[in-house]
Amino acid sequence: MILQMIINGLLVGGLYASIGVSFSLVYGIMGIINLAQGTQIILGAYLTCAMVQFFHIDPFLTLPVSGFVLFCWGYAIQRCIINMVGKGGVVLTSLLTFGLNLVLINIILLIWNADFRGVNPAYAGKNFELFGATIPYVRLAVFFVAVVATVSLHWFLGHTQTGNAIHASAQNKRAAQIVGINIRHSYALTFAISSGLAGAMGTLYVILKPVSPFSGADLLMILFLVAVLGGLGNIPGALLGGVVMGLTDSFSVLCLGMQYQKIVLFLGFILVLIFLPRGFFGRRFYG
Amino acid sequence: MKGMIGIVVIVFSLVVLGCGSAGAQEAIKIGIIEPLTGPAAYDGQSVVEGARLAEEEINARGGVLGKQIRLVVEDGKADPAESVNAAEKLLVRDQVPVIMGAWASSATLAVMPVMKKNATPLLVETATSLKVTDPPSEWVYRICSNSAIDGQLMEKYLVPTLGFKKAAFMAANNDFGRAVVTFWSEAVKKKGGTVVLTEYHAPGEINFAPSLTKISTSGADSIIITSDIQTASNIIKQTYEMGLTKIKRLVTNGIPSEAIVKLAGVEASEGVLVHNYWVPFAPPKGQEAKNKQFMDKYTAKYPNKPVDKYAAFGYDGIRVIAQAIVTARAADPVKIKEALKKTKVDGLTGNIQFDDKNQARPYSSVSRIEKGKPKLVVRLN
Repeated sequence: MILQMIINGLLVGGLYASIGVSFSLVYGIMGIINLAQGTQIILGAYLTCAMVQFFHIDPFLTLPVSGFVLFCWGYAIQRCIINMVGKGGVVLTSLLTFGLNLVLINIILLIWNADFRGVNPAYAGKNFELFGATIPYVRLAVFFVAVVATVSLHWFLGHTQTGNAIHASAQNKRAAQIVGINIRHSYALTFAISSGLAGAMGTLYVILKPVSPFSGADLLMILFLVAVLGGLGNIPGALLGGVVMGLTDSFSVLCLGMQYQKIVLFLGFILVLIFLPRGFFGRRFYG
Repeated sequence: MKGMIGIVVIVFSLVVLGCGSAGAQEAIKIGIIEPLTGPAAYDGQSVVEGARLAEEEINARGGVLGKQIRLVVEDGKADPAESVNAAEKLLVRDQVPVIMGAWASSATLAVMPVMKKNATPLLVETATSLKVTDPPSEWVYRICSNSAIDGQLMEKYLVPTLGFKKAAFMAANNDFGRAVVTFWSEAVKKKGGTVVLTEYHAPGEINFAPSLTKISTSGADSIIITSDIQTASNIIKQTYEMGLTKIKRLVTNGIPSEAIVKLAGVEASEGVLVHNYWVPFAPPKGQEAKNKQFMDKYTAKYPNKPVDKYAAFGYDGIRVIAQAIVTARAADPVKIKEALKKTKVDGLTGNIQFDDKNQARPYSSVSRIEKGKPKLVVRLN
């Protein structure tokens, strides 16, 4: 049973991590707390539902599309709206993203109404046994895709010119401009990557669980916890944060019961804030 | 000049408002508080739509006491504070003699003192918390069920017929979930079964794998699931993912089978037992014709919406109120309150008459989902 619990924790932790990374990226680079991130994930989820319904394809195949649509949306939003108040500080940008969140929710409501949606691939019930623990294929696939997405994002930021440009704009805006980096573009790109990742994670999320236009609120909590646990803006940290959160989920249920899960989680969170105020990895990303 | 315009506007609006209220006096108003926006809006709309059908029917027959009835609908957002505001508006501005609402238990409990203060009766159509009628309030009548009644009715079937000998509960961590666990546990224990595990979750919770792992190793032969549509379907889906389909699964409190099948998938929901109140496929005995008529009318008026229990309760609620106004022979709050006590309506949701706690006992049943379609297993009353 303990092995089963560890596996449960790891599998869901992968998704938590990815969700956390998408949120923490924007904060790390631009200092913007994107309160619309949860609903962006839900928008990705709805796109997946719509595509599965119309084309009868496997939900995993819709991931690039929902990712791309959200990528474009993110780019446009950052370029046209958020950039306008970018200098206004964290309160203004938070207010703005809060408003965006409401707009997004109502767009989803308009198109799809308040009904719950979900997708159920034919292989949802297939699983295999490993040392007596049951591993559902769907969860394993979700875990795998989420981790691959996160790791490749990390690689992209560290090893490509565009990635370096994004780093540079975060570290020193002026110097970046002097060497010819288009700051507006790299900010918009960062936001777009974050939204795109959110859209892709929406696909994975809706494979695990039905969503409603309001489900973004459930996610926002996870986003914050994972990102802060790992250190805001720190990708490997968020990965660790996600896994730790998945494991905490599992073991609090095992030892105490599900009703104590949130208590344990937030107690742990408070302890982390007191003793490791900058998250597990002890430093902020940049700046 | 500006002053003149102001005066003209004020006079004009006074005239318009005056006409409005004079015109409205001819109809008997019935207040309704439902969530029309927010997460519960879909269900709240259903209640209102059912109520509108009843309104049309009654008015087509000539109304009550020779007057037409008119529904005055306010948005309570399933929120206690908003629902209290809505009640105040209906009572003070519209002076309605009776209100139906307020969908959620928390909202209904908040509205109850307002009704008492204004000495106006409230007919509760969907809120299931025991506290609504226990301790009873003379101003509050309920046509939907509560967990104590459900537990009592299930007692005969849960262990003996359905074989829930070692039951595990997965319930929402709120008043509703806890009440179900209390009364359904009694039903299991009284017939010699045991409750091996109870797990409470926050509504909207994502990951049930840990809880389900615990249940699978606890030796439970059945899981009783009490939550909202989305969460219950998610639990069903995850039991299937984890390969726990040999354990019997039962979803309580009238969550529509169609929704479970849609959200969890046909394979995952195979064999799931569902505890129903009003359902389209199994009306109370003797109501088949009326049920069909109601569903046809509803579908004609709202073509894109499946008929659900909320619409049926909304429909029955207005019929009960209209009946009570006829018995009272006046649209007077106190008289309607007295009349409700004696009101009997053969409704779609069961034989509606109120006991000494002003609680009706609606019809309920259990069905099993087979190949994505619900099949009646047993009628509970």
